[in-house]
Amino acid sequence: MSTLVTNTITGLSTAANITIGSTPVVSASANSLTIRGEGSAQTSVQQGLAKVWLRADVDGSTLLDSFNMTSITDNGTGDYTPTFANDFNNELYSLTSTAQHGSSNNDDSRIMTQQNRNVTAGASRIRRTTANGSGTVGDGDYNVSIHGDLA
Amino acid sequence: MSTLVTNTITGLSTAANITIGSTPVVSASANSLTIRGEGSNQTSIQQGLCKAWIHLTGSGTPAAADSFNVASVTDTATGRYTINISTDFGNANYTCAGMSGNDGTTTGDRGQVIDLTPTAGAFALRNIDTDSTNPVDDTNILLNFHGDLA
Repeated sequence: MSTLVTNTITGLSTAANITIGSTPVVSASANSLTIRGEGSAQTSVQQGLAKVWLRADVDGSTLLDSFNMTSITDNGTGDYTPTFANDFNNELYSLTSTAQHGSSNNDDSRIMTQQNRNVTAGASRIRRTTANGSGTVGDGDYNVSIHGDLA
Repeated sequence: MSTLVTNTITGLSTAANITIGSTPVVSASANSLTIRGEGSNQTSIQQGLCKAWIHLTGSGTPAAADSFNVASVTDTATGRYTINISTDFGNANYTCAGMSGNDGTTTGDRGQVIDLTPTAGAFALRNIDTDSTNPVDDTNILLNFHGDLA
């Protein structure tokens, strides 16, 4: 058993870079942290992290809780543009969402859709629509999570 | 090149706290670990981690085919399930996103809907056929959750 007792470890070549085993645990390089997953395969910590998540209130534009968000623009009923604090590298990120059901009536089911013409590295316009595609409907709460490459 | 060979690193002031460079790699503090992302921006590891996920077999007797931080699944009605979280969120303001379908036999589109107001420890889901808007049981219902743990 060998134990090192210290508060701070500083890299020799670069102060902020330390490798443990073959894993660069702290590194100034982009996308540098790869770890062994649940089995034998390796996985990137940076790539696996959600870069944005939010839960919006019933008005659709108030953030109840969030990560890496600045605000939600209310474009109209059921029409919103979440804006990110730290932008993505491009618009090619993955956005998933779930909408609040309107009532116990099956016809009141809601889903969120993404407007491809209004997706940028820093914001993505989404709409709350009826599940059967009959169009944008009233405001309501919803969830969003986004994975992708940060700038 | 300088190499340190050891089995265990222990904090001097606090045993569980170690800082490498300026990053508290191991820390008893909440939400302490921030790293550089794919570009130059920084991102929080704790905030970015998926806190729970489930591959739910929603047909027959609903059960988790595989999951993380899910205690159980309650079958409330056709196409309606409650996902019970093991280690609760700090509040009800977390996110859930998902998709669903069957093994090569899915007819109609699918959507995942928040069925009831979420709580810190449970999320009620309605899995619907978006053509009919009826709740449906599917073989594969895939969900992930992000948010603040308690």
